[in-house]
Amino acid sequence: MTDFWLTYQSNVDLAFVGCLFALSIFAGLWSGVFSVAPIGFAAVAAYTSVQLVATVPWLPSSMLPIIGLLVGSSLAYLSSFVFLHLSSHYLALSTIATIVLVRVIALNFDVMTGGVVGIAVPKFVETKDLALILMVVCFVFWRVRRSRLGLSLEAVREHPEVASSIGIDVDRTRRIVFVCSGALGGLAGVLHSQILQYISPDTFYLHLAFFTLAAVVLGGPLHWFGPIVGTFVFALIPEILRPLMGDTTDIGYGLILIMIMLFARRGLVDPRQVDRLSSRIRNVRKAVS
Amino acid sequence: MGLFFQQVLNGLAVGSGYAMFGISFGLVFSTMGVLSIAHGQISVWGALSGLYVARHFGWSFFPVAVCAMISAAILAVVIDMVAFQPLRGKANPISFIITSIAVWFILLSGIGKLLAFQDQTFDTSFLSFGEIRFGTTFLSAGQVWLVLSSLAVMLVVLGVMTRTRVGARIRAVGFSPEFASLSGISPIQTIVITCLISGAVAGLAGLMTGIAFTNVGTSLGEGLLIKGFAAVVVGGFGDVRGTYVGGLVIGIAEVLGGQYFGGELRDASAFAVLFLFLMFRPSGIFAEAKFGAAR
Repeated sequence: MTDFWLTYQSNVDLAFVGCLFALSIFAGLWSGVFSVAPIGFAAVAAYTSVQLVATVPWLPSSMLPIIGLLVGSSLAYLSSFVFLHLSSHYLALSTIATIVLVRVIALNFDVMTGGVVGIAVPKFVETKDLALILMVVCFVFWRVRRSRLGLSLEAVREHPEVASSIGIDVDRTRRIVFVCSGALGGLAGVLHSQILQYISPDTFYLHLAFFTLAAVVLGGPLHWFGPIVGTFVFALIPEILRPLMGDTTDIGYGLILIMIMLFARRGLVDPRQVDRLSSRIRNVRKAVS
Repeated sequence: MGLFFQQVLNGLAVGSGYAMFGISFGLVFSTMGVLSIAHGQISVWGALSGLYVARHFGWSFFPVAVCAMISAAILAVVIDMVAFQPLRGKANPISFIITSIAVWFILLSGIGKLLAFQDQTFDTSFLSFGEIRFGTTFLSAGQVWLVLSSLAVMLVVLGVMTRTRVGARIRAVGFSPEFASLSGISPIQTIVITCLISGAVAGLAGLMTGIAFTNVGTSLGEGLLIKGFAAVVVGGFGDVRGTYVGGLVIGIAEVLGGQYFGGELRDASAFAVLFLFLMFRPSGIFAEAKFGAAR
């Protein structure tokens, strides 16, 4: 059992952080905003945390995730004034351009970032910390889904015009969610860098963004539990595909993603079924008591 | 001053590649509303096919270019039929972006495998001349061909879109597939034609950029995708002339930024132009000057 744990601990850690990344992208989709910008914010937050550890030695390591949250949310707030004015296509490609831009900056400001070689990151988190953080984040998502904000988010996603006609401030709702998704991205970036104990400009690049997105879509982009299921399934796929496909495992990912989009667009976790299931559990409980 | 003109010429060459790609990208976007992340890899595929026939059969420039265009056009149609056509009329715009990402995964990995996961040098000795000189400034043969082919593509696509029945059909389907089919235009047929044109142009853009910089790799696709998108934003999508000018602006901004603010800011200056436009003029330079009816 300990051997098993030693072999797979890093995979589990990565999956936990992958869940945070997935939830950050899901948060945008929840309000109908397709944005991969949180990955770019994650890079900035990760580099910031590394530099802080180096320059401020007395900083308690438990502050680092909070710094990630702050960096991510402030970047998201500032950039929301550019992004949220754009229509969905322009928004999507501009956030992809943001990731590319962050990489260009990371490659060239090698005093801060180590350039193409990358930079070593001291590790402070353990698996139980990651699990705790993920549980807290999930709790927040669970509460939000049942709140007025969650309801207005879904209204904004499904029909912005109708939403604004019933008194929902569409821009404000989207901005709140965009800032939250940026904060989650920053948090995940800091944790990701600590697990890898190393970051380079390619750590937070399009691959991470698109893998995360694929996990969200596989799990189901309509319920917060979907991205979590999707991330764990995606963490298992390479173990199955690698023996079959070798260095072209990505082709398998692409095929799976196309299949999902063609045949199961609601993903593995469908809120209609989730709600039906939870009401059935409630009924059973009522019958028992 | 000679250096400045030299850099402007280099910028024109770089920008011509972006312009050509932007035209192809914008054509798909304005006709079908699909913003395909995988489009850059279609260019790489074109460049790869050109590289293959040039290396193995020793063909001269024109057959190589035709071959690159045909294979990229076929790939574009296949992608559309497999990944986008089943979603039409059923899914929201975000779904198209996601399937295009799936295609991106497949193409990036497949093409990477074919290129043995490293950049390949494009031997351009089949071009008939070495370079063109204007006083102290010069353009290499690859760059000259890139600039000329980009201009030619712009004029041909413009002519097709504004002067021919095919162009009218493409614009009609772009306006509304339902109305177009009411007036006897088959949307699916038109979409295939659009894919053929845009795939061929994307393939040519990839091939010419590969020849001009004597290098073919999968990173070529990402550069073209982001800078081509920037060209569409700067020019204002909807008119090939606008996109063409936008591409040149991005290319010149990139090269001059690299020259005067330091080489590390080369790409950053192209992005700066993109984000300035997104912030202050997301409809592009030519938003108000409507060039005829070409959407």
